Amino acid sequence: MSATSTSHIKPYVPNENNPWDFKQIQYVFRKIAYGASYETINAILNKQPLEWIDAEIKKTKKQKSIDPPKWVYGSLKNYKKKNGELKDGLIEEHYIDYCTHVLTGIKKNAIEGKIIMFWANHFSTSFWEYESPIMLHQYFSVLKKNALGNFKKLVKEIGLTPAMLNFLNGNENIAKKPNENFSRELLELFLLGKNNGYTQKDITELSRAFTGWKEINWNKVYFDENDFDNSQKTIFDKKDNFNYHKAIDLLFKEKKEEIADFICRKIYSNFIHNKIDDGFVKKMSVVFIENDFDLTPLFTAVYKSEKFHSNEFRGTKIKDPMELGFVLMNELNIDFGDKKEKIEFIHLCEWTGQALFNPPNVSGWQGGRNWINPTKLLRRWKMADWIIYELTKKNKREIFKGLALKISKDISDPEEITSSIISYFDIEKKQQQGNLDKQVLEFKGDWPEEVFRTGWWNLNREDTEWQVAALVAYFFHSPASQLI
Amino acid sequence: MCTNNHKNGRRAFMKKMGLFTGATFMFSNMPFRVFTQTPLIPQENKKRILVLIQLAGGNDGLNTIIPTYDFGTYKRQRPTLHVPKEESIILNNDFSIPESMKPFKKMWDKKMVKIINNVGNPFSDLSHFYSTDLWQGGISDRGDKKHSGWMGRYLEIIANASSNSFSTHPPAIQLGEDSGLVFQGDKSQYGFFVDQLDEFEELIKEAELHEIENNEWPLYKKELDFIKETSNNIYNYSGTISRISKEGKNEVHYENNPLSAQLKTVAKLIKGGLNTSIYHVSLDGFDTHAQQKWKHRELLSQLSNAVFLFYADLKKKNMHENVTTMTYSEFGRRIEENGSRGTDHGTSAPVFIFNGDFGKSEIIGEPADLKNPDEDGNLIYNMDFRRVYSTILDQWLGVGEDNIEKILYGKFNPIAGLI
Repeated sequence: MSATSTSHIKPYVPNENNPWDFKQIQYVFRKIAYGASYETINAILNKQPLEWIDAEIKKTKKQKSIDPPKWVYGSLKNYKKKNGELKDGLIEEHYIDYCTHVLTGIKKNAIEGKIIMFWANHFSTSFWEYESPIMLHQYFSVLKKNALGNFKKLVKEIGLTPAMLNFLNGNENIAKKPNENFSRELLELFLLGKNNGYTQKDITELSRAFTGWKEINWNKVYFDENDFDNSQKTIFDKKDNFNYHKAIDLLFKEKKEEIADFICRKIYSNFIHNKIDDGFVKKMSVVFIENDFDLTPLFTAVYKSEKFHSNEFRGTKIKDPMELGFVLMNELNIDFGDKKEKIEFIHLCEWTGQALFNPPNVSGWQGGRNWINPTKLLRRWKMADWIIYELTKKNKREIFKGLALKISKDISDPEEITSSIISYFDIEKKQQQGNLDKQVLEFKGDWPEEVFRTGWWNLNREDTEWQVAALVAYFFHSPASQLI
Repeated sequence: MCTNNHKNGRRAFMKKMGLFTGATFMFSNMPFRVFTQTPLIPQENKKRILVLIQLAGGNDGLNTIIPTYDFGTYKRQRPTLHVPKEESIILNNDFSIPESMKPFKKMWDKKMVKIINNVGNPFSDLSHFYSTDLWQGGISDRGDKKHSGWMGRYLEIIANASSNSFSTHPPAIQLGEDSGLVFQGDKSQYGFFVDQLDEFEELIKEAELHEIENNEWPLYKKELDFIKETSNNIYNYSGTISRISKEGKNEVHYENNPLSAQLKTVAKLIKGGLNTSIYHVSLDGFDTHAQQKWKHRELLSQLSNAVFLFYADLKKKNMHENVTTMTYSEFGRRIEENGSRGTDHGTSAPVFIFNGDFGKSEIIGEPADLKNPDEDGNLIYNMDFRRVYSTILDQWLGVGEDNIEKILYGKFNPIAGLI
């Protein structure tokens, strides 16, 4: 591996306007992972931010992954009845099972998880199009293995997963009659972007180079020479008898700058802001190319940059459903109790528009404002309600009181407590007075005013966890709670 | 992989989760103040409603309206995929439709169908996303005009012309897949998203009005205001939608698939008296690169049944003449089939327009020339899609010439006597 070059990108140095404080660390955690608990954030306050990021990336790469379900090593025949028909319900059961496996992994290693989910939305496939849990596993494994590896390798491997071969018809792309679905999307969506220096002829010629690859029994990919177009192709004016690997090598050679630029733009808009800073992206591209498309130096440089830490971007991204759920869980410091709860969480993601590994089409979820409409907003409120009330049902209710006791300076002043709790979850710095009045009312609940005035009430009394929970739920129905 | 199986597998799965909602991908955001009536609409007793049906993925026009005028070329180019004569229904001397579209033949006989031949875009492109933007934008070249849609610009003209009177009826409604640019105006998004009608009762209880205020960070404000506006629109419209969904009754039995579910909801809202004039629904799955035959047949069957039942439902309340429906798709497909018993991305395709009573059914415009395709083997269009839009705006929505020119960024002659 070549030396990590990050010199082009200005690193973050804490300063008066942008100190390395609790809110900053919380914001960084929401971006590089799925949020963190009060304790985790506090423990990092005294660390040097750039060193801490280096250490976290090193840690995330070294972390051992959890074992997948045993059935992933099977094949199509495990899903068939004696008469050759598919068994009822087994595909659905394993799909859900695999999603719970993915959730467990992401909860455990969230920094890597965030990047895997980013790639899953870049190299999009839809599970219900190829309908095979084994293919889902192979697809996910390639994303995971290369999430912070080499991008060129990721491209080559993802194109030859059974899932991708099925989803974009690569397995039906044969010399006699090429199918150009994969080659078109490879250029338009995966590598270069629309109209970025290629022609319809390049697509057709590329399809010919990609011929011959097949998937069998859901678990194996092989090359069938008889269906390969074994003749000269002309791609980007270069003539050769290109095959799959040679053609992708050519792409990375001839369109190096364009590919780097396209991918860096996508990373920028996903991890920093959707309005691209061309100058910054140019610097990212330099790092990417200098490191021969290795992803670790690129992501490290981005995560350490002044840009990434700039607070002008706070609250400018609408959470995707998984972020909405996970960030709330992590900031409350609660985990799933059992598999049933994970399954419910997966259903809630689907219900709010993010059916895991099933984006609406090959361009993936568009994200941002597309997550919000009246129905989805209502469902997002219900998802938060579920986490706050259902997920804490089994002996976890005391976390609410515990959190309030930790973050509030005064345990008997409802205004101070309310304000502390809202400021903890809200990324916005300044509390609006009008909102605060309503929130305090919500927090006081049914208690008569005297109990607060006389000092009879304080956080240590019984049942105050309900008041805190109700306030958190109230905040999670507000617009600000939808933002990272 | 058995294609027959997979949609059912998904449906069964969704059902098991208790979440089967048709489809749920959408967004919406609208100005808080809107308009009670549309002054550009000619004053007459019956309200005029437009329903747009998106056939997402690129519908194969040649297997929808079969070119019997050049059946030889058609069959030669599609040895496995052509629809044989014995499996099709004759419309006239030149065209027929596949058997799976039988309900369309009934509508054709009842003078409810107009088909515009070989409609395309001069800047046509083989990319789904680019071409969809062109169709939904009502533009020829995405350029800097990419951020608004033809219906969005239409609704904005109405909004600007009307007083600031408060309305509790959304100007436009979208169901099913994302309507993309269609309802995006230069300032606001006009398509209010409706999925499950019964959820609106809950939405009224939960919705709060939010003051749109200045925040410390300008970037933060933009996203926050967007969510606040959505919230305010919920507050504004939920009551009406909830009330009207109880008043409007479906009086026919619809099929159980996403498009039927969407049109069923539209019929309910129209019959219940909602003052909304534009609806957008969608049917996805037309990107038939492989094993097209079964898939496409099923889609056409869903489409024709849904539209047929939708009009039958409207007719029960004598509202079938108030509603004009138009289909569109980002492109047609390649003339020659590919090696996977499918078809790759193409160019032009026919557009369907329906109304409860046109006086006659007909096919308009020159048939496509199958023998002389472009260099990629695709059809060369002979009707600019903006002429179809111009016709709808002129003959159905009663928009004046000047405004049509503003909406479509240019002059496009309406097709005489279409509606």
